[in-house]
Amino acid sequence: MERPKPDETADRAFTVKVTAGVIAIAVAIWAVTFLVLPVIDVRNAGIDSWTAICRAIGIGSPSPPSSPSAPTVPVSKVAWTDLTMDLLAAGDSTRGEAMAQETCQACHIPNGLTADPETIPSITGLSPRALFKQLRDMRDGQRPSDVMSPMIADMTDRQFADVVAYYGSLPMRNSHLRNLKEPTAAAMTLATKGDTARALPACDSCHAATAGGPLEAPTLTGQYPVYVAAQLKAYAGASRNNDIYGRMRGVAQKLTDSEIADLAAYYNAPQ
Amino acid sequence: MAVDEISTVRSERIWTYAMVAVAAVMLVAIVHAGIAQHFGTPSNSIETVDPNTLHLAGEFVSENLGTRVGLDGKITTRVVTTQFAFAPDCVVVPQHMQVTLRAASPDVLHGLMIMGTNVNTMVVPGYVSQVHTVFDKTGEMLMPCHEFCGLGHSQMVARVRVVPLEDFQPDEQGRVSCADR
Ligand code: HEC
Ligand code: HEC
Ligand SMILES: [Cu+2]
Repeated sequence: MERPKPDETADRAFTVKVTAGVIAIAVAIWAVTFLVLPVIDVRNAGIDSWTAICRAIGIGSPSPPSSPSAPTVPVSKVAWTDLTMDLLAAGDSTRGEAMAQETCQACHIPNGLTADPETIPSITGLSPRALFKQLRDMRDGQRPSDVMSPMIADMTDRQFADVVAYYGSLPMRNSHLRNLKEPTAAAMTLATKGDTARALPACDSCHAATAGGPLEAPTLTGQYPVYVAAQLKAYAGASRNNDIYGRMRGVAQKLTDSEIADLAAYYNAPQ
Repeated sequence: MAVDEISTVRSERIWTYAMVAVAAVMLVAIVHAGIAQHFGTPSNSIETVDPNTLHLAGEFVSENLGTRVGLDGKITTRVVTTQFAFAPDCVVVPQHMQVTLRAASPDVLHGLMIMGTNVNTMVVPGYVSQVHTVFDKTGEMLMPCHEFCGLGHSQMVARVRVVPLEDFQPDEQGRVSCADR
């Protein structure tokens, strides 16, 4: 079949119309999102239209002055800024080992055991971030400890970074098999699945080594049961409150005493 | 069946009009949502905030969270969405009043929504999310996180308690919290 010759004028007119249409729609959308909506939306935000438009475009965006707040006493001064991350990355485990031999090993033994399983936690194999956060909080007063705080009062952040690099590189404590109780089903469920009815996330969603939860959540595997139970009770009663945004207090307050005991036993069992 | 040039052009034109109509309907829907229902587009009122230091100073410190009546009488509810809980996990708001909800995240992407209201936003670390709303019915509603944020995501839910205006009694700092009642 013979193809008819394309009508060039009609084609050009069509192209012009379509292009104009597309441009018109784009302009309309830009006007709506960058001009109309921001200006309408400022009613409650306490900012003027010009600021709103600038923010919508993505320039010059200071937060509006927040309403006067109570004096801030952060529950922890540790923040995961680039500065902190760089400091931890530069932690030198050789220097850390020397320091540990001098001051820490009498209590926190490098094989993962401790001088007194009833009071002293095992810290080997925990993430340097978790250890660093606790050292900072114990030194700076957000987690006062009769034993630890005076001992590390004069240590610098850099020394902390070294010593946590060392302890973090050691293998985790192996549970004493003779101490083991069979973990209860209730503990297993709480640890691995949580309880949606109580809005209780699984402990492992934050505490498993690769869970991807809060950066400062320590691994609990192999921790002494007496210590775990004591910390849970301390969080529940808020006598320990250095957890940022109450992430651990909120969890602990929902646990019953028997669940606390079961969970402590569960984490002492080999995983 | 042979397709001739004329009918090709005609069908092209019909489809062009159809696509323009679809785009127009969507645009109108967005404008209506933005103007009449206060749904903010993501680009709307961009405000940045440092997620790493959220808890140290500024608007989203723990002491400043929850519902607060400002000196100008405006009601603002501030929450922090964090793995895997809202802080605070329960807020009180009055019925039939304009409430501004402001949220920020210190860690990863979260979201929040309250069923039956226009409250539905992502909370992107580094930005403040803001929604204006009016609650029509009293009672307790659930505000779940609706952006997957990690293994505990499905347990991340807060409660929103809508109370009649006469039961909405701010303390001398303008705060109202679930614990007070
Ligand atoms: C005299 C014994 C003793 C010495 C020495 C000691 N610690 Fe401790 N450490 C403890 C006790 C007890 C606790 C529990 C603190 C509490 O609950 O108040 C603890 C807790 C910790 C914690 C928190 C662990 C957690 O999981 O929360 C870290 C980290 C720590 N110590 C690191 C160190 C470092 C580093 C040194 C050396 C600079 C050191 N400790 C020296 C007894 C000691
Ligand atoms: C939302 C995340 C999250 C969940 C869920 C969670 N934790 Fe934690 N937990 C944390 C964080 C973060 C810390 C560290 C807090 C701090 O900075 O002091 C912590 C600390 C702890 C500690 C203190 C450890 C130490 O070495 O000092 C114990 C014990 C603990 N959690 C047990 C549990 C148990 C048991 C569960 C389950 C019922 C649980 N956690 C669920 C986030 C979580
Ligand atoms: Cu979430």
